[in-house]
Amino acid sequence: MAFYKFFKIVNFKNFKELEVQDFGRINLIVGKNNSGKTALLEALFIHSGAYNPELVVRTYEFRGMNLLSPISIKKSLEFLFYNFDTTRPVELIGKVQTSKGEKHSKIKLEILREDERLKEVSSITFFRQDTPQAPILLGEIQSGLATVFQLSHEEGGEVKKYNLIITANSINLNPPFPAPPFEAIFLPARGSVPLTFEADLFSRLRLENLHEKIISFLKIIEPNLKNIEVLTFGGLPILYGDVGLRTPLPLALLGEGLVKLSKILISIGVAKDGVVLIDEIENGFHYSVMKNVWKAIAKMARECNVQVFASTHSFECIINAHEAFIEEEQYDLKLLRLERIGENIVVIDYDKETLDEAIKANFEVR
Amino acid sequence: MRNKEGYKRPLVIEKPIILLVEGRKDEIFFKKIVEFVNVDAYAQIIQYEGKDNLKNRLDLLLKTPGYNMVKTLVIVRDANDNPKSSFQSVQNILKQKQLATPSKPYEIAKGNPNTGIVILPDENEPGDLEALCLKALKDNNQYIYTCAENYTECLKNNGINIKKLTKTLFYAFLSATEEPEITFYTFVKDPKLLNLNHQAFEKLLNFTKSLPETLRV
Repeated sequence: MAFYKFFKIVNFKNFKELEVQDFGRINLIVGKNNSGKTALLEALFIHSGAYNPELVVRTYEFRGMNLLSPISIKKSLEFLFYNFDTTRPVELIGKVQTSKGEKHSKIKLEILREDERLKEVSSITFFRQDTPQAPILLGEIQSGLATVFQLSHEEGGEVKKYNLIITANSINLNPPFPAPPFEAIFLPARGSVPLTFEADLFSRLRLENLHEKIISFLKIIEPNLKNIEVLTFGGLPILYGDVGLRTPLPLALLGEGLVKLSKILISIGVAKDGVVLIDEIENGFHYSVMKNVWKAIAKMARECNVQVFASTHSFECIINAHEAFIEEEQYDLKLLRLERIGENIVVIDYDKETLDEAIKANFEVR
Repeated sequence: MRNKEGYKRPLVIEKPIILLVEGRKDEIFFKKIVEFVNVDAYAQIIQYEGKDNLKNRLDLLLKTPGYNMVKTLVIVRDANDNPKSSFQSVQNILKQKQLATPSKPYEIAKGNPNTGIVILPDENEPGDLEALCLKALKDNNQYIYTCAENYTECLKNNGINIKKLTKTLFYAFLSATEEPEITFYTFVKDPKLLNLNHQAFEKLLNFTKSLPETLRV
C-alpha cells in the first residue's frame, strides 16, 4: 500500500516551490492553463519511480514530444528546472503511508557540472548501450561532451545515486536501478497508450481474475458489452470487446468513452497498492455518464487500494465527482486547485463541505 | 451549471473590494449604491444567502479564484432585533477566520484584507434593508406611508402575526405605486422611488465612496 500524505516540489518546471499538505484517495487537480497541473502529476510520477532517472524522459513523451536523439534528451533536461536554472537541483519530497509505516523520501535531480562530482561518477566504468564493449571515457564526461543527469534517492538517512549519461550518440543508465517501491501508472492527455501495452496490462488483471469487475464497470458506457479478451491483430495482441455483434471488435473502435474508462480501470487494477495519475480525465466522456464513471473509479480504487491523481478543466466533471462520492460509503474526494500568485504557485484545497457550498452557490473552483 | 435562467457562469472574484451582503435584495441594492458613488469599477457585490450561512460562504470566498487580489472585504448584515449582537456575531466570524476585525460598524480594520462591517438600517437601530429604504420612502410620500401603517395596524388588530413589520410596511407602500406588481429590483431601478440623495443613505454612501481609499498602501 502506498498513500501520499504530503508532497513538496522545489525548482521543478513552473514550481519554484510547492507544498501539498494533505491528499485524499482520489485527488482532482484543477487550475488555469499553465498553473502546473500536469507538472504536479509528472513530479509525483518521477517520485513514485524512486530510483529511475529515465522517467524524466518519459514525462516528455507523455506530452507528445518524441525525444529520439541523445541531443534532444540533453536539451529537454534543461526544461525540467524552474526558470531553466540547472545550477539548482530539483527536489521532490514525499511522505508516503505504506503498510510498513510512514516513509519520507527525497529525490534530487541535477545535471552534474563540478569536476569533483564528475570524477565520482566516472570512477565507475560505463559501457555504451549501442556498443557495449566501448567504455565511456572519463575525458568525455569531464570535457562536457557527455552530460551526467543524476537522481539521488534519500530515505532513512541512506542516499543512493543513479545516473543517466548522455553522450553524443548514446544514452546510458548506471548503476542499474531497482524496481520501484510501488506501482505508478501515468495516463497522459495527449498521445495514446500503445494498444499492445493495454493488452499486456489487461492480461495481468485476467490472471488475477479482476477482469470481470472491469467489464461490469464498463457497462456504464456500453451496456451491451459482454466480454473483453486479448486477441491478436496483425500478429500483435490487442483488446477486443464483444458487444453482441457478429464478431468481437477491437476495443479502440468501440468509442472514446469506453476506451478511456477501460484504460483507467485497467491501470487502477494493475497499480494495486500504488498510484494512478490521469491527465485531463474528462476527455472522451459524455457528461451524462460522468457520475457513474466516478463511481466506478471510486469503487475500483478502494478495492485495489490505489491512490488516484487526476487533472481536469471541467466544472461538470467536478460536480459529478462530488455527487458520486456523496453517494459512496466514504467521501474519498479531495479537490486541489493550483493558483499562481506572483511568481509562486499555491495549492487551495476543498473539503466536502466547502466544495458542496461552492457547487450549490455556483462559485468557481477551477 | 444550469439553473432557471439557463447557463450561469460560476462566480469568480474580479474586483479588489468585496461587499458580502445578506441576500438577493441586498445584492441588487448595493449594486445600485456602488454605481451611484462611482466605485463599481472597484467593488464586487456577493451575497451569502442569509446570516446563518455567513461563515460557510466566507470559508468558500477565501478559497475562490481571485481572492488573493482582494484588498478590502466589507460584510453587510441586518440588525434584526439587536444591532449590537448582529455586529458582534460578524466580528466573531472574522476573528475565527483570523481576519482583521473592526471594533465598530463603518470602521475599516487594517489587514490582509482590510475589513469593515455595516449593520442595516443603522448601528443603533433594529431592522433591516427595508427599514432603511422606508426612511426615505416615508419622506417621499407621507400619505402613502400612513396608509401602509394603518394597514399593518389593521392586520395586528385582526390577530394577524406580522413577522417582520418593516418588510410588510415596505411592500404595502410599494403596492400603492403606479406599478402594482413592483419588485425590489424595479424599486431600486426607479429614482422616483429610491431617492439615494435622501439623508437616510448619507452615511452608507459616504462609507462606500471612501472604500477605494482603502486600496492605497
